[in-house]
Amino acid sequence: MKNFIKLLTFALLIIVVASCRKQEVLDVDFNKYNLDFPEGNSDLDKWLNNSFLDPFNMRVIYKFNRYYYGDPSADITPPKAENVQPMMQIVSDGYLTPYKNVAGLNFVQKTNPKEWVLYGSNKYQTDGSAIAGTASGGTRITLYGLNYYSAAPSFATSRLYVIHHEFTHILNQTVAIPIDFEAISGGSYKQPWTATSASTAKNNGFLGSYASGSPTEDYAETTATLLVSGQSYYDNYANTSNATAKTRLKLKEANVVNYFTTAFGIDFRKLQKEVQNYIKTTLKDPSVSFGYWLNRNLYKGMTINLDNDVTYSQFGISDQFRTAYQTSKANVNAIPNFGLTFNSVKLNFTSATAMTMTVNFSQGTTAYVANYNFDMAVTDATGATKFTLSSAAPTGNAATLLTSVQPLLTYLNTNTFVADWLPAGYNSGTYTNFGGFYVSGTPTNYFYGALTQ
Amino acid sequence: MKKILFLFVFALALASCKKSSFVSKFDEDPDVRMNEAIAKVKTILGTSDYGWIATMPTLDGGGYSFFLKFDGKDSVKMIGDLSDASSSKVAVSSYRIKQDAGVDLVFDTYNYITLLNDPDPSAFGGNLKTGFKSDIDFIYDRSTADSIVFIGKRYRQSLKMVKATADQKATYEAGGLKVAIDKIKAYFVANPNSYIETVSGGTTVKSAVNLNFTNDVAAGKRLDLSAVLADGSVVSSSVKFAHTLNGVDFLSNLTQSGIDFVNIKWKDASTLAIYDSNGKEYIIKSSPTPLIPLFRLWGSKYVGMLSQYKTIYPGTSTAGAVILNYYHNGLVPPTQPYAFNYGRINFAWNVPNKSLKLSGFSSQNGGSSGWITDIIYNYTFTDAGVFKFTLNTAASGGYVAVPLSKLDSFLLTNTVTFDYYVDNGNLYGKMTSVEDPSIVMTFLLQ
Repeated sequence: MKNFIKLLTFALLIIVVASCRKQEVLDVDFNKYNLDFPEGNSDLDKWLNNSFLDPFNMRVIYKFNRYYYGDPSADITPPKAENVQPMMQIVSDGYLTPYKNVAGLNFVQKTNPKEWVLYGSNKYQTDGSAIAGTASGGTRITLYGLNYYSAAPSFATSRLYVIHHEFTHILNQTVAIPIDFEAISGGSYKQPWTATSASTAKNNGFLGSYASGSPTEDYAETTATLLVSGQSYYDNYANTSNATAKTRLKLKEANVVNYFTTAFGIDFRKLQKEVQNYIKTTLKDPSVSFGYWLNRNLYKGMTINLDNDVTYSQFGISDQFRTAYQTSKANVNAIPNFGLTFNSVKLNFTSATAMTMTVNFSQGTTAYVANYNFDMAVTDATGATKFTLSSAAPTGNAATLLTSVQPLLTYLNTNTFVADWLPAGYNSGTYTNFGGFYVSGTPTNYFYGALTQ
Repeated sequence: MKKILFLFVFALALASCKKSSFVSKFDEDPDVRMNEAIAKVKTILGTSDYGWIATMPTLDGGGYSFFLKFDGKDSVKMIGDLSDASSSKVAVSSYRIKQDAGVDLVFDTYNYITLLNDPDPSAFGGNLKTGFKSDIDFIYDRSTADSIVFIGKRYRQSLKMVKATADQKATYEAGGLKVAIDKIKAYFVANPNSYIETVSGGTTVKSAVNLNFTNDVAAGKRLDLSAVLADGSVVSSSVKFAHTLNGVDFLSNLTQSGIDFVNIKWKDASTLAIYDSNGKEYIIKSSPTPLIPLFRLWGSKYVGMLSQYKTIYPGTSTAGAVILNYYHNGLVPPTQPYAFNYGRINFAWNVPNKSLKLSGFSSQNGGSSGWITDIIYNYTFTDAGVFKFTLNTAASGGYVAVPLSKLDSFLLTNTVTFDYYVDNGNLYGKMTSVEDPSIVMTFLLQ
């Protein structure tokens, strides 16, 4: 009996334990939930898919989704649909295409952020200032302010600046910033960056207050400025700061150029020229043009040596200029009784409105110069340039050579030129190494030379 | 002991046999129900053949109405009573319906409704960062056979839509909303002193009707109803309104003397009437002069008056201009030793304390910042509206006590009346001396 009770108790215990195991499954299939893929089948959606999603696995999110924007202090609006395509065309031409051409499709597919979120209004901060773009997590770039789209180049360049800035961060997250970069500034990084004035930042060799906050921002600002604002802007900024700051800025430039080559095998100078070509040719932003900086007297000299500079044999020179140059050269060399040798020509831009043509020649081993003064007038918007030979009669060497170099003087004096980065195909260094002029309306009649600042 | 153990186990076994299965409170799983709800809203919106007429208040601004035609997929055509352009030109943008905390209707690219949400004041005059405090995504709330209601996700304002008829759709698409807006605006420009009569306790009360048709965030798209009661007190109520093809709709009930007013409609081609919730009609009549004396509205409709820097408003007499100019021209030496390049005079009424604060503002940076000199008066007034001021606190703070002194002594030595002054359609406040009626000053009403 006792055993029976024990057995029964044991059996009951088993039943009790088993009976406690209740299993109920709420069978919900999350695949059937509304997943909110708002892309439709409009022409715009097709264009975005063909231009970005298919080639680059890059999703452009322009339809409002509250979950991409969590800032409670300010509202934000979706973009006007008609502004999406022009904005993304800028992204394609000013950012994706240059990288694709220089670094290759694989590089872009691998490194380009996968989500691009677009908003119509600015993103306002609590202090009322507005933000134009942000990058997060190496995977998303957010661009604000599409409703302010305009065909003016300033809209496109300001956005491209943001994009190249943010993309530099993403590159830096792939391959870290070279350790010697931070040392260039000698420990002058300081937060909050808003407490550093623009002039203090410049004196310390930074491209602005924002760059003085941290090495990562400094790096992104350096890259974006070189690519979008242009080499001339960068050089002018460095030239107008103090000697220490200039040295630092040039070291930072060299660091960035070297980083692109060693870390990614990208020729930074080619990339820079691609972006600048787009800004100059398509956006028609005069502030990146040769004429604009000639008008600000950034470039002080242009050396032309047709026979000894390999650039001319590599990229050619127009027949008209070659004739004027070589005829002048032959004339000088043929002046009887002097035994002169014509060496080269240099245009000295002594101010924004004056140019002196210097003919370098020698007698035996002694070098001489002959100077001819021109007035110069450059129009910012078009680069149109007119040289007018001074009416004052030349004296000394200039008088002696006057009739001999007349073909060059006539060529410069009679033509109306357009200043440009020439030769157009130049690709073996910084695009600002060479500049030149072509005759307005006749691009095949041109000359160029090595620029000095 | 063992029996107790046995009994315990037995009881436990019995209890454990009671299995209560999971029973859903709903007849379907959440994914199914959600998709059903989304499909339902999509169907309702897309299948109104002639579109929807929607009204929506904003949290910070006034009320607005829209004509919306959803294509059932992702495109919506819109007309809105925001501006001349928005009320006459159809704009197309996209929308989508998705799952959120409920079913969410998102106007996901820019359209007229987005202007109210725009954080940039240059877009439509909203406040920086928050616009009019209006939404672009709305959670489905409820629907009937011919209406559907959504609630704004962030600012909780209701977007109420009613099915439009074929005629209404045609009228909206032909720019009829702008015609309707222009017509009612013109009526109130021509009849600035409109009022309605209500009977309360055997006496007839006249209530002034004022509509602010602007898009000003603080005051625009609102209607004021102000009545002077038998005891002389003024009752003012305000409601946000939106334009319809035949008048305006109030976006919440406007209650005065126990009557709920709901809209204004054209009774005939030239007669407007306000209707209450029972459909009773109150014809809007016109009075040649403002219905409520200005002094009755101090502290309610008008909190003060303003004399802007070096601005003498129409209606100011020569003697009045002398007093005001003594301030504006005295912001530079020799009246007082400092050189200011901006200043203004403000009157601020404090009705509960029966006091008036006279403030002289002076600035050396064009008004961005500056200093304020305050003088506080106590006042009494008769039923006829004759005000007498006595000094409560003499000039303190700031640097402009001397330039203010002429106005100060005027207020202390004269009794004054306040009245309206209308010039070229603009309304000003007029202050006149009883003792010397040649002294008249006009101000902007605030």
